[in-house]
Amino acid sequence: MSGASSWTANRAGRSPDSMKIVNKIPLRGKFLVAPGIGLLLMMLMAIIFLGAMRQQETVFRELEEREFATAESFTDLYSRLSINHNRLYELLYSASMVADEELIFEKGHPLLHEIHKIEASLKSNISEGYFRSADLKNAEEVQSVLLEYRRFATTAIEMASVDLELANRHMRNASTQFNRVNMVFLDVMQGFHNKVSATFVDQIHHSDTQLLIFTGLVFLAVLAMGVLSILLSRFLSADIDKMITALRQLASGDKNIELPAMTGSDDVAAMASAVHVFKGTLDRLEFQASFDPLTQLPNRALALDRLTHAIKHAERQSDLVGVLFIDVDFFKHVNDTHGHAAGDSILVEVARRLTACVRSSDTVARFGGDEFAVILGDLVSLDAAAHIAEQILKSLSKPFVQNKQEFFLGASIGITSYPNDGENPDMLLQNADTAMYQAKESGRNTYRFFKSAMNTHIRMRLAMESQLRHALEKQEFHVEYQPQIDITDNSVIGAEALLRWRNHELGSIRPDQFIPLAEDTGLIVPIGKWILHNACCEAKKWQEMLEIPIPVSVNVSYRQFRDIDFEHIISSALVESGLPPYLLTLEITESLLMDDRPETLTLIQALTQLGIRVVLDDFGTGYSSLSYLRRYPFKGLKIDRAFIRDCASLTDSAKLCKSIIAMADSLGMEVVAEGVETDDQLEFLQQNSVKKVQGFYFSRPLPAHQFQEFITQIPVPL
Amino acid sequence: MNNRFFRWARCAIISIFFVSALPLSTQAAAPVNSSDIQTLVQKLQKGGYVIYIRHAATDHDKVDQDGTNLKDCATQRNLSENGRQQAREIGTAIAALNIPIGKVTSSPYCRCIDTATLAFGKAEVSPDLAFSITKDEDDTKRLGKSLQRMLATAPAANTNNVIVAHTSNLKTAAGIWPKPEGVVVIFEPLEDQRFFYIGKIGPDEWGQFLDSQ
Repeated sequence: MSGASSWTANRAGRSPDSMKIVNKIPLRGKFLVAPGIGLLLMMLMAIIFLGAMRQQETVFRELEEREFATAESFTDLYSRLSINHNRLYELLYSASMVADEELIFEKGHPLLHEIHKIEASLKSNISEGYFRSADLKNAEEVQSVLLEYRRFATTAIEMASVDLELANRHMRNASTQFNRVNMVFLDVMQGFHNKVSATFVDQIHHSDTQLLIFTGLVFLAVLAMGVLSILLSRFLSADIDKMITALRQLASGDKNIELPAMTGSDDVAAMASAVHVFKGTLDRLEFQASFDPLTQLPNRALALDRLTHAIKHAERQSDLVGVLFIDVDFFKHVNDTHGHAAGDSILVEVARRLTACVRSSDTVARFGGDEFAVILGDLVSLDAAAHIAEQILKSLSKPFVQNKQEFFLGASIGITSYPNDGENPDMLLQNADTAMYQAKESGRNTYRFFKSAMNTHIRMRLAMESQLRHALEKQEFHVEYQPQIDITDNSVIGAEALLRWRNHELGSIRPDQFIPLAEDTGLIVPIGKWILHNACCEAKKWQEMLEIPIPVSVNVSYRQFRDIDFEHIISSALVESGLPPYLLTLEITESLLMDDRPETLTLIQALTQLGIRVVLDDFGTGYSSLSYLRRYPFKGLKIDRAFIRDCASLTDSAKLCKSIIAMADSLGMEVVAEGVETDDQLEFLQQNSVKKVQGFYFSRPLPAHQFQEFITQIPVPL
Repeated sequence: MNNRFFRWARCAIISIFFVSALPLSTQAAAPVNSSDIQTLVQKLQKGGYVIYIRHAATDHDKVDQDGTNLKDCATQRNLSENGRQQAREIGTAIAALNIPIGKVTSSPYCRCIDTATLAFGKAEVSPDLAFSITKDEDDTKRLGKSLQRMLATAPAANTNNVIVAHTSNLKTAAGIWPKPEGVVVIFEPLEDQRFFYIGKIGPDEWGQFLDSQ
């Protein structure tokens, strides 16, 4: 119970949302996280790298498409211009010799047109944006020098029509201008060259930068993967370490374990949950090992443990520890007559009442059956223990209600205390047990403090029990028969078979000592069978000896009566002995009838049908009730010897006896008075018309052979 | 004289070539001499011709600087004093010969406008007559076509139209190189946008002719 709360604190708490997502990843998945991220980074870098390559390619293609194309067309224009100029020069040179102005015009006009075309091409190149802003100045210069050149050329051609000398002069101007054009063109070409080189250098520089960034990214990615792997493995192994520690703790019995979060669906959570279930099973097993499943009270083992702790504590504090050993009176009877279910619920109620009688710091334990123990720690005085025992007795003497029926139980309590009655738990419990038996023998429903003398008695009882187990096979039992006398004519009209036990170690033991023991141990069943058989055989002998046969009475305990074979045992005893049923009388006690079981009535009726006589023994001692007598087909009853003893001296007993006799008479029952020892008693019985008596007045119980002698003589008063 | 002959001959051949390309040009150009000038003048006196005049003599020390702004005469090669005299003489001669002048159209160049104004006292400027030597091929062709239309356009009744312009335009339009400066070339407009080369009168021939009269 106390162990169950220690671990719960560890599982709740630390589980933020981000952890939930992580927890949902299965363990196998977690192992793949680092390589996965690495792969992603690699892919990212590959994309970046490809992008850079493509960008570079684009730059170069642009360079080729634009700059190189421009340069090409520009070079083309230049070469056209050069060719044109040469023609123009040759034309005018020839003009100086031929001097045909019309011819010069005819040939010169297309050359001028060519210059126009070159200018137009250049202009369209510029308008198409082949020149960048930086080159526009150059482009404009080219245009202007070209325009000037055309003007000179035009003038030269034109002048050829009026003055060839002038034409040649103008042609020289044109040539000079052409040189200027030449230089400007060269400048532009140089510009192209510079620009292309610069672009290449730029691009190479750009590539270098990208390569540097790329290398840096690779390095960072590897670093990130490394760090991530370490973190992840730590994260994973932390949980697994935790579980290993938890399992080691559980193995060594420490229940205060810490487990990883069991929420989420990953393998770690599953493992943690498995360990948790394992711990739960351990707890349950431990509980089962320490607690009584029926009453939920600590069992003997745990009680011993608690007692040990209490003794250690008391040792330090110089306190007392009290041990109450409790046996519930009459419980066996309830269990036997009403079944185990009823018995169990009464035990639960007993446990509840006991727990209510003590402090919460005290321990109430069930030792099995109807035995309980109470451990009182920090006990101030023995009076306090006695006070608690009284309270328990008071509580348990109240009726137990089961199926609308009231049961009156009680308890016998033995009390010991540390350090007075023992140094260790075993001794304290054993001595308390002894004291409890003392209480039981003192008439039940009471308590007894342990006295060292009690131990002798208990040893005796234990010795007796062990001897009793072997008494039948060692043939230590024999039967004695006490005659029953018809006091009207002093004739023997019956005999009660009485069991006798002579042990080779313990000597002769009185029936009131060993019969309860036989009943407690269940040995009464085989012993009862044996005595029945013996008695029947003996009675058969009597039948053969006597003209008027006499019946034999045999006592039957409730244990025997509950035995499902009982009817069979009876009939086989009769068959084997050859005794007619009417010569067998069974004496049963009132306690057999208290539960009102229909089976009891059926059995008694069956026995009666067989011809067996069933009589009620010890009438007046128990819960004597008239209803019993009415309901069951008893042939007679025996007035308890306690009433007979006092019937002549005490008026109360006499009155009781008289009423019993009157009642039996009215019901047509035969009355037997047992324990008759004096004349006064006999006289009382005679006056009250009791015919059948047994007692020392006539004869003590006799061994079989003596009884045979006794019945063949005519009895005379002793 | 030999050279000149060849030149004229070739002009004529080119003229025939060109005009024969037009659907109804069938006649060859007639050779020109002083008696022919007489005939020419007689024809012109009746009207119905187009008189193409190359601008008169110019100052050859100057060159055309800017072909775009033709209103500024300072940037152009203008008429020399001799040229101005030529122009006046041409105008005087034509007036003296009772050649009726109708519409006078001139190139925007100052030397042409001056020639027209000095000769006839009037000039209608047409950009289509601008000096085509400074133009590119397309513009040259366009100006050539434009001049062809002008040459094929019949003047008002009993008058002759005058065009004052340059060498290259006429070379393109009619295959005739008008040489020297101040030369007059005469065309007869025909139907269907055709024209016919009639003859030409050099700048020095007018005085001769007038003297002979």
